[in-house]
Amino acid sequence: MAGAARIRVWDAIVRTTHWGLAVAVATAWISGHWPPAGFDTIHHWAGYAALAAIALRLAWGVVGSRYARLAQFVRGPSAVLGYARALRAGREPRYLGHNPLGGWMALMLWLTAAALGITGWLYTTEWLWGYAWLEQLHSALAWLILVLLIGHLGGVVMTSRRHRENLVGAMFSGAKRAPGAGDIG
Amino acid sequence: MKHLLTALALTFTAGAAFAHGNVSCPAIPKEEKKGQMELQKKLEAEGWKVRQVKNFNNCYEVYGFDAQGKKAEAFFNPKTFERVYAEGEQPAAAK
Repeated sequence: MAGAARIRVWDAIVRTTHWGLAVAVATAWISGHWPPAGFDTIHHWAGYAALAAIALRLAWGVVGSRYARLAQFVRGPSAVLGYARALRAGREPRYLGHNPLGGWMALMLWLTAAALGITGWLYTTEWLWGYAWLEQLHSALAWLILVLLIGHLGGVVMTSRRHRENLVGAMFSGAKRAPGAGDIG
Repeated sequence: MKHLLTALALTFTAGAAFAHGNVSCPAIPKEEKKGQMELQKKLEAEGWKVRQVKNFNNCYEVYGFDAQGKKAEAFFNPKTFERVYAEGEQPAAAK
């Protein structure tokens, strides 16, 4: 067969919230560490945009299309460990949606970004404005999301190479190679 | 990946140096500085509510509410306790 069939995996909301959140987090990260006068406004709006993207994505994780649903890709410890072992042995199956490790990575990124948005917003309220502990918590979460992001990018690059597909491109087009023998759809 | 990390590292180091719109105070020998607690007490006597005082670019940086009850992030000279304004920051009309 010339050219494997491609099927649609990531729907428009998955893709839009993914790139929207990526841009919002990058903007917030940079404006948070490099704030000449006026950057606070950008930082705040980036935070609100990130929260909106996460709220939409999590709701879509309940009612969205097949591969968007949390129930489709958030798996228990035995599945995650099994996948990690197979990965180490170099014989992990290809997943059409998120693999078990990737699913947890996505969830961790969303929860960390949400915690960043919420702690950041709380810091602007009169109730919690100015407290050092909250500033430190927000800052620690910012470093955590950077570490997670590096893991996320590493996972994308590694999985793309091992299964010979462009996962970054798939997050733009939504399409992936149709499952072959041994793939998990 | 490598470029991204380099960019992030540069952003952060540059960021640390330019935070808060280039506020800075002159370097003041330790024995000439007054204490952060003293600044806090002075401001509170003037009606401020202080939630945090820390060092920033040789200044004392105060988070809290000013005498008008407005949220404030303000910088002070550690020796004179004079308020120092960030570039582009408006000195408050009152006082």
